Amino acid sequence: MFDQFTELAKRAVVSSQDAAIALGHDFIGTEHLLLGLISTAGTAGEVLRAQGVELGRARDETVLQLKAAGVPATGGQPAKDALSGLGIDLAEIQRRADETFGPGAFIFPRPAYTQHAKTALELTLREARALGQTQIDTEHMLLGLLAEGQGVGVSVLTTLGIDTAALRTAVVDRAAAQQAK
Amino acid sequence: MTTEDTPATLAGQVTDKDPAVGLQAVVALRRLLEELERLHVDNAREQGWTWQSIATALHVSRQSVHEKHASRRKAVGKTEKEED
Repeated sequence: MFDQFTELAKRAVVSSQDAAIALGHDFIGTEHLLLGLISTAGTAGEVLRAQGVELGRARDETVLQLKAAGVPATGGQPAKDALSGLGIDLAEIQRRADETFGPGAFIFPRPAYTQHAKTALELTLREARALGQTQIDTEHMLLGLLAEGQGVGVSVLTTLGIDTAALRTAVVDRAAAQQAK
Repeated sequence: MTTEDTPATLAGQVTDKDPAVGLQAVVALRRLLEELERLHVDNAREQGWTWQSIATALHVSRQSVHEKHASRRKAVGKTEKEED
């Protein structure tokens, strides 16, 4: 699936993982995809910022909502503890992997996509096709996230006062205008 | 390791009667395994290994290793030779 993503869309995906890790969440949800889109250049980020969705506020709201839902922000500490309980020295593996393969090559525990995020990513393809595009760009990622509709990402947008139906229209209009150029 | 981590208590983690303890250890090990596979497949590709040689070393089919790693590698902008 990712091989059809544009460079910007790939950057947004990587940025989502960075956001999840930075916030200490042991998964990548639609809320992290949203943060990735806001912090990446491209149509999705531009439309979001034009509608007043700021990275800082979206991040704070994400932290609040997950905390309220009782989601731990411990950076996957239970998985680390389980390994150290088995006598596996994760810190030493990390140190040597960074030294041999460069920082970022070995990430434990690497956050995995939630079901909502997986569905949103799968829907990007349909959104791109509907707009007559073969490559998946950031606007299709945002449309996929809105189409999935059940994730925390949409909930964060709603709390920030965004009308998701209007946002969808704005993204589609913007994408159509760019194609017409 | 602390002084309490004798081999007997370590073995206890993976043979605990409580399913939650045992299953959590299994998941953590699986995630470590997946991360190490990813690391070493990337390293092999960067050293010019073909998908077939990686598959042979991992005792899996070329198709399964390619399906699992090729698209992911492209997603993070790793260049792939198309011929192998």
